[in-house]
Amino acid sequence: MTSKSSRREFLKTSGLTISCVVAGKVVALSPAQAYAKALPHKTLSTAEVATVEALAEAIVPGATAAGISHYIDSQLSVDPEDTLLMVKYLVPPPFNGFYQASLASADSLRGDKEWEDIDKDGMKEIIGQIATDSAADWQGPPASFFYFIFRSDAVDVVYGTEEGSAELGIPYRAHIAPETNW
Amino acid sequence: MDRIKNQETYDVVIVGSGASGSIVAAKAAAAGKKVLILEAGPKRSLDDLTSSQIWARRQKWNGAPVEEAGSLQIAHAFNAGYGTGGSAIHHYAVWPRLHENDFNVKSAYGKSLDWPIEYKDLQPYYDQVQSEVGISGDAKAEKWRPAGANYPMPPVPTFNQGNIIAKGFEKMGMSTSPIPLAINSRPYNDRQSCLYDGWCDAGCPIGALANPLATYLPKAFADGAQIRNHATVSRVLEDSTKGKVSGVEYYDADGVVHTVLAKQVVLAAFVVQNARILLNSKSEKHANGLANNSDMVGRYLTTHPSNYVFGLFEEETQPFIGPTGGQVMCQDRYEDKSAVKDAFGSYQWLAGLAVKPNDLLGFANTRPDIFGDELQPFLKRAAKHFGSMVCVGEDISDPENRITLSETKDKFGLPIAKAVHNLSAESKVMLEHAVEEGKAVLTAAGATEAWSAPPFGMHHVGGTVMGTKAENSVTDGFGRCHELDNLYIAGPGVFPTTGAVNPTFTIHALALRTVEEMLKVA
Ligand SMILES: Cc1cc2nc3c(=O)[nH]c(=O)nc-3n(C[C@H](O)[C@H](O)[C@H](O)COP(=O)(O)OP(=O)(O)OC[C@H]3O[C@@H](n4cnc5c(N)ncnc54)[C@H](O)[C@@H]3O)c2cc1C
Ligand code: SF4
Repeated sequence: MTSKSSRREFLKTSGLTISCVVAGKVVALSPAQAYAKALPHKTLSTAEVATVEALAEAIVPGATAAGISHYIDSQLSVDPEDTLLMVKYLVPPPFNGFYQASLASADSLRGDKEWEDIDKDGMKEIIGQIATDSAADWQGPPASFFYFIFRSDAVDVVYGTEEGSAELGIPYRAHIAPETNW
Repeated sequence: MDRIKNQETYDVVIVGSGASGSIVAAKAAAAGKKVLILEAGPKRSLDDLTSSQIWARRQKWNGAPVEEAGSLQIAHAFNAGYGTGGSAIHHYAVWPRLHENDFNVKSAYGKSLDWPIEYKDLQPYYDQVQSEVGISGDAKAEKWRPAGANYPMPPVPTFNQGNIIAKGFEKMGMSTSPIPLAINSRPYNDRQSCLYDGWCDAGCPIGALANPLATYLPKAFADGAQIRNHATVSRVLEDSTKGKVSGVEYYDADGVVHTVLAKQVVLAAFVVQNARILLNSKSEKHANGLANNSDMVGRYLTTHPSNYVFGLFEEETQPFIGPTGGQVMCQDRYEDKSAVKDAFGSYQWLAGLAVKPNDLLGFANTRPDIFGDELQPFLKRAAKHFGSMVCVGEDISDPENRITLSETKDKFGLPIAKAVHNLSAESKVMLEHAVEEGKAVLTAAGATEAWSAPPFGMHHVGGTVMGTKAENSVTDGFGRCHELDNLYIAGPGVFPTTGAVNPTFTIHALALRTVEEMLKVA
């Protein structure tokens, strides 16, 4: 178990803490740290990760580096009963289908371009279409409903943390501080 | 399927460890009864209540999903909790009393239902619970308050947000009082006082808020009550003696079926699951389930039709300070339920709610239309200048709003519940009227912009209502099933009407009355 890929086989999730085994030790990581270390995703495909990061960054700037794709991925990889995603209030489990169908529809909105080739105005246009249910050929859950939940996920990772509160200039004042930086 | 028949017999088996189950357990155990609580969810303690709106989601309902339909759905997965302490471990402890006119709505207005009891029957129980648990409030300032003992603690202080919005009410010629909160404004009964940090939704781990982990469950366990977690009750078992039950059947985490015998059984599994258990308790004799000869189980499902209004102020409102349930209350629109043309129902305002940036009720989600470069400036402003209030409205009890069994099965092979709830035209007008009033209050208070969210269903009520006879209800005025005299139902499911106040104080008062009766007849 010395190669990089076999170490990564030990990647597991517990709650919001993504952990991996490095040199025989389990290291707990926040989604932001998992993103920084480019840990592999367990459930989302490469194309889905690209869509998640492009959309989330355009909706809530800072979401990519805060680990939005690892956050959603880790929470879709646990038993739906244990997921911490807000979708659990609004949609019956399992939740993978909800995200995968919506992401596939969103992906089709980029046409022939790669996500990174779409400029700010182009992204604004795409997000606007999703938010107002005006995207052509959208399949799956209503686009505006997906937008609401997905935007909330991105707000979770960027502003639902002690750092996020500090960024907004307000005290977090935890009674029991959440694990890692949550 | 493995089956284990427990030979032990308990005096009282309680299904569910939340608001209602915990007080029944404490009182029965204190009276020397052998008590077992069966709880579908996991074990929880105060130490599990992490201050995070993300982690808080662990406390939500995680049992069999509920199929929902209707124009104002009851949002089961949001409004129901799971595990020791039930939904009540992360409730906000807004504890007003029902009013006298909530008990005779049918007689007075020809709508909804009448209760088989009156306010005066419940008043001593409200007073006892208030003294045991501790409520902070200002009885004098609540000019609408029905008769009752003074609060044992002074009100929780109001902060900027509450004070600013209260001025808006005043300018509109309306009155406010501090919200009566089951939150300690000073140390009470060995529980410490509130720190006003707005983490109530994640659960208050310091015990300042009256959640069952801090109030009645420790008492119940100290007096010998036992709890089994991951014990999902599927059926109530009939006794061969007519008109009695013998115990319950439950599934453990591994899917093994157990039978527990009891002299008295209390269903305290909240509105939807109580009805589901009865409907699933079918037998040859009772093809429609238990306590359901008149097809009453599941009917009159209600919720509080509610609406948030929000505003941004020039002044610093400091919306991160205070309890989550809010700071000030207005019940000026309570007395006359038909005051608004084409509308029906009392409503109250709860204003000055402490709010976090994220989650369903976070301030970011109040303006989902804002994204991209505009988002952070909005959030930074809202973080310090946001104000909110919520209208809690009365529902109209309608037999067609109901819980039934779905064709879909849960992981144990049992039919899941289906909950249908439609908003009546009159309730819709009531909410529309309230939203306009709310925006006007915020504007009068100095909001530079005011907006609202869509209506939603707050709290679950009804489904196993109390009444005078089996033809019109499931239980009598004590929560005892008309058809089965050792089967009791506790919780808001027995309320025939919702009133326009949060239900948990009434849940405690009624459950206390129920257990007192159980102990008398046992
Ligand atoms: C976010 C939030 C805020 C709230 N704020 C307020 C407030 O400020 N004021 C107020 O008055 N009310 C408030 N409420 C409502 C209040 O929490 C509920 O009305 C109250 O807890 C209901 O009490 P109960 O005993 O009927 O059910 P619960 O407290 O929910 O307890 C029921 C228990 O039964 C268990 N159970 C379910 N099915 C089974 C089964 N088959 N077998 C075994 N166990 C089972 C559940 O897991 C649960 O633990 C709030 C609720 C929420 C969700
Ligand atoms: S605001 Fe008060 S009651 Fe709420 S969590 Fe904090 S200390 Fe507890």
